Amino acid sequence: MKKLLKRNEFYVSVVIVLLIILIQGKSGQFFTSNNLVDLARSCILPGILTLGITIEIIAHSIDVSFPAIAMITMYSVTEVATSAGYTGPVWILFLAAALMGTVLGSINGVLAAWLKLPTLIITLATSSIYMGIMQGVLKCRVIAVMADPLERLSETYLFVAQNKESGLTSPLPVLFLLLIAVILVVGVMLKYTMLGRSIYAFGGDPVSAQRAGFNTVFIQIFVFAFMGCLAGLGGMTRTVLTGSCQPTTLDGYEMTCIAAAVLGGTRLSGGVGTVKGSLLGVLLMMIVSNNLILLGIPTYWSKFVTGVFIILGIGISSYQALRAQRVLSASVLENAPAEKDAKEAVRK
Amino acid sequence: MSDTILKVTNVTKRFGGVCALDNVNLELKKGEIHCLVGGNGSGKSTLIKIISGFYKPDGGTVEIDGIRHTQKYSTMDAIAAGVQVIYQDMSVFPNLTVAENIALTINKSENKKLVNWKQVDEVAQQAFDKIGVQMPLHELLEDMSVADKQIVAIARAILYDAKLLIMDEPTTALTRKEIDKLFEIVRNLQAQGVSILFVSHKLDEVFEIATRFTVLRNGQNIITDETSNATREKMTYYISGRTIEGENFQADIREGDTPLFEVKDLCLENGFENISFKVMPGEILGITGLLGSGRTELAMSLFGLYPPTSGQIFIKGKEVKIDSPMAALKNKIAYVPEDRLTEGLFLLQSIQDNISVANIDNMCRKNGSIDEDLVRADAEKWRDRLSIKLGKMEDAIGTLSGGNQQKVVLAKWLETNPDVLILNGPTVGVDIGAKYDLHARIREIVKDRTTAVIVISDDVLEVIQNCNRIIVVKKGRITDELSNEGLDEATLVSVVTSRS
Amino acid sequence: MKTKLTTEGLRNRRMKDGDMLRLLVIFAVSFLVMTILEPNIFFTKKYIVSMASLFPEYGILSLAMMLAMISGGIDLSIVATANFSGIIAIKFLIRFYPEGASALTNALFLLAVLVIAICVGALCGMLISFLIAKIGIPPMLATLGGADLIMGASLVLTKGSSVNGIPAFFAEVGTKTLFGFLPVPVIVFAVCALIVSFLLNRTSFGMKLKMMGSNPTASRFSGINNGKITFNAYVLGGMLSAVAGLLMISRANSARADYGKSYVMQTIIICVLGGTNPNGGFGKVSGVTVAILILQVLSSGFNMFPQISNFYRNIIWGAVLILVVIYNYLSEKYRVKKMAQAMEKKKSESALQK
Repeated sequence: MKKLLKRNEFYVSVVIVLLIILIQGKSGQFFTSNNLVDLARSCILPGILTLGITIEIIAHSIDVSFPAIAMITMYSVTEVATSAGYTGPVWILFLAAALMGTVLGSINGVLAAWLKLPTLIITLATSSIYMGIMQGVLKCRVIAVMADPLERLSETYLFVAQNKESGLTSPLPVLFLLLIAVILVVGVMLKYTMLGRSIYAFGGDPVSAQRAGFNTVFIQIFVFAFMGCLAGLGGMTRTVLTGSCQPTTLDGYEMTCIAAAVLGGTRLSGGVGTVKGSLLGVLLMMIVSNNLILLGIPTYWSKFVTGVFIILGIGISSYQALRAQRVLSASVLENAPAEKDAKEAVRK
Repeated sequence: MSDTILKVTNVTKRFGGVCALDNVNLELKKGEIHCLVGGNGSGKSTLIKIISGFYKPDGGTVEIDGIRHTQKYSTMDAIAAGVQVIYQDMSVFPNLTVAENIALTINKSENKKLVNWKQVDEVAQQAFDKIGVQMPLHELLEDMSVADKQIVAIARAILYDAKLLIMDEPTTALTRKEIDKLFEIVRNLQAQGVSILFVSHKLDEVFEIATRFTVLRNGQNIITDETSNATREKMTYYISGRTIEGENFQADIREGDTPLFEVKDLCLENGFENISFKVMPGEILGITGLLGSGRTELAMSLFGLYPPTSGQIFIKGKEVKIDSPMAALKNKIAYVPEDRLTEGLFLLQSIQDNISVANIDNMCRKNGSIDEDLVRADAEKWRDRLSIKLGKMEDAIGTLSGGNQQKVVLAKWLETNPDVLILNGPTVGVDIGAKYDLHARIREIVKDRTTAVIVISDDVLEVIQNCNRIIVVKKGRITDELSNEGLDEATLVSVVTSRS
Repeated sequence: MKTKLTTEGLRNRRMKDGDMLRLLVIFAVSFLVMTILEPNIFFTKKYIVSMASLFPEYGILSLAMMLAMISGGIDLSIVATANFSGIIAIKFLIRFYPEGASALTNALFLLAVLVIAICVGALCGMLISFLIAKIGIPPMLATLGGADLIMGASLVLTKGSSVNGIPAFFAEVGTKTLFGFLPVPVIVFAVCALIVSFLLNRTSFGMKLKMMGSNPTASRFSGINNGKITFNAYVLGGMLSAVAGLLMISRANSARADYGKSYVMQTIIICVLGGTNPNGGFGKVSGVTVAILILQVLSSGFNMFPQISNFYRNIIWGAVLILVVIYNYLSEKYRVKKMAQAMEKKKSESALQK
């Protein structure tokens, strides 16, 4: 039980439940089908990106360039497809974006691994460079009407939920399946593959990981490359979901995703993080930013409230850690009998 | 088949212009527990790294179980040959479970791509069975003690069918009980035919566990012998090249003096209970006890790092409340900590800054600016008084030797003109020449009879030689008080280690 | 235990005179190159004045960032604080400023605005330092969340739109020049820089700040009040951010909750370029100043060439940052090698003498 209380996931779940109760209580609107669908829809993009950043944070790396990677790949692919009048299968466009994102992400990874430069600084720099290239060299613009396959995809839904009372309809885009796919891939990778475990090992103690024979350079490059891939997919998702290509649409998004990951229990010091936790973090952030209005709170309060939640969420676990440091835990007086005996070796 | 598991012959290793190992020989018989002994800079770490394939020797050979290894000998080759090293930091993953820590590396070396959690548990259980210990498989390593982490590291090493297990300073952070447990595991392994090479500088353990030992000094062999033939005096001579010199410190205690420092019924939750003692002018008080006895907690509490929960502290007769390090500093209490690298020094800052940092508030003019000349003059004063060997005052302190670094920490606190000076393990990791130098300085401090000096140490010899009165702490309570007059180490050791 | 000199360790060395010289050289070269390429445009008084108009904002914000970095942290909330403090002060101004006021009234109101902004900035700094020192949230997250909170507060105040109707005299302050060529903002920056420089180099606060940034454990064990130093650093940073915020508002003649979003990253780039170590313990005002000048010269220079669009600035800054970090890394590696060789030499010499 004590261990349960220590975990962030527990707190986040509690807060989510409380919020839902509050919102449902005040407006009665939370559990309406169209609200739930809207919520699910709003989680698609942050879900994909947050899982990517979670992996990076586990590997003790910070990445603020993924919105830039998302934007530049999104823009490039859409622009090329639109001006060329592309009519082929849409998944090829997604693949192209993923590949381009992987390459851009790998650049971050190489700089981090070979030259051992601090990741915050590197990704700040590449973020700047990629945005500059997109805005300067490529002279990006808003593309309101995109290539046909993309336009069609943005109107393809899994189902449409209708709120019987208000008559509002909310479609659940088929791209929701992409989120599910990413969740499955990441979840399996982290839990059941050596690659995933090596990421945890590296994040826990990079020197030990190296001594154990893990290729730490590869791991570092991989996490950035993988994030790049997800960023590419995320960028395309954004375009499809909004129905047009706006090149600066994800500015500042990195903070949202990092916050979601940390709220979900991902440790900035590395080595700790879960898919479940990060998804809970995303859910919390989305409920806060989307559903505040149901509590009667105007939208311009949402950033403030998000900030409060981030601080509260992170603050609680930080404060616990701080208090633990300030007092002696093991009892010297009895040479810590009770607790230690439980763990003590039993001679065969 | 010979009965030698390890044969290191005429191995030499140079780094730049310095010869770390000079024609060193080492031989281990199968099933032997052998201790490699030496001070800092003796070359023992380098030798270990050569045996484990981490370094390549410039000359000489390494033979494991009869197979002579070539120049290409790498860490992977060493593991294949049956060599397992447990370094001081143990190379474990604190964020993973016990079971995963044990199974991860071996699964990796077998190039597995997928993870089968059931297999992980089985592998871990196997390892524990082999060493004769049980531990909860799904606990995170970061929640466990140093001793438990070590057991996990050993279990992991054993999975590789190790023939030779090398342990680098394994007992540094262990309590007596944990050391006992460790030794039992080691003997267990020995019974199974594993040979063990211990690296240690703690003489008691050498005598307790090893059958033979080898002493290195300055990269050269000094002696290899049976432990039954060695005594403490001989060992100290082998390691340092010097015999124990000088007389035990005698204090000049005068009647009617008020105590410089007094503690009454001091208690700290989970730390210590009912601690009371006095320090008179001219005395050096020693506090000793095993690791985990509460002596470090007491030291830190007196400095305000863990403020005492009850009790009284008096400095020069006046009661003071020490509830933070800032309060301690204000009341002129100084603390030279155990771990100078993380607790005492700012490695990348200049020597001058390191000396002046604690007292800097008193070096400012009325307008708030620091009086640079005064700071510089004081720093130079300490350099001369303590004979600190340094290049320039602006150099980073990381460039100094251990002994000189410790002198800087001492200078920092002497600069504050303390009423109470507490030194915790003042000569740990300092070579023997510098050790005696530091002791001489400490003795000088009490000559002016205005500073109370308390030396806390687990080095029995250090305490006997430098403290006229010694307090023994066990499980957070004071159990004995002795005078150092006529006291010999054996007696003190038996008092400290007795189970009463 | 021997202390190993590793690249990792010595990479954190303080900025030595050599670094400063290198920065100045880069500055001189860039300036020269730009002047040569377009002498008619570049070296004119008007151009220098316009070039000088942006950098005070960057400069003061960079000082705030530098303080946080030296303390071992980072301050991602400087822009949010700048905007928030500015908005509150400006709203006060708009509310209470009488029509047709005299020069004296203008001066008084200017002072009031300054005081209010600085106080609000200080409050923001207090909040951040509370989160870091008393709650134990790592600075990156504390300032990240804090930024959201503070910017959120700005959004609540402005309801998302910009604040207009600022009395004319305020905007004029931004464009006024002293002695005909020195813009007031530059003077403001110079004053701030001098104050920060004095605090860092000559006071015990500055010394304790860098020691704490280097090793917070040892600093606690040396009796330094880490909480108080953190408090001072972030409060000072908040006040500096507030001043920068006023400059930004003056130049734009309106106030918004989201001005200067990209400034945060750029101040980090400036600090690192100027020799501030992101791990703490080292940083110099002079370095930061020269770094800003270099980047300002470069970007203004590019502005002169209409073929090269504004956005190239981003690329330049990013590339410069990476190059600088690479250069620092390589030069430290070289320095470590040299030092290790010198030490080995000393050791073997003394060994021979024995």
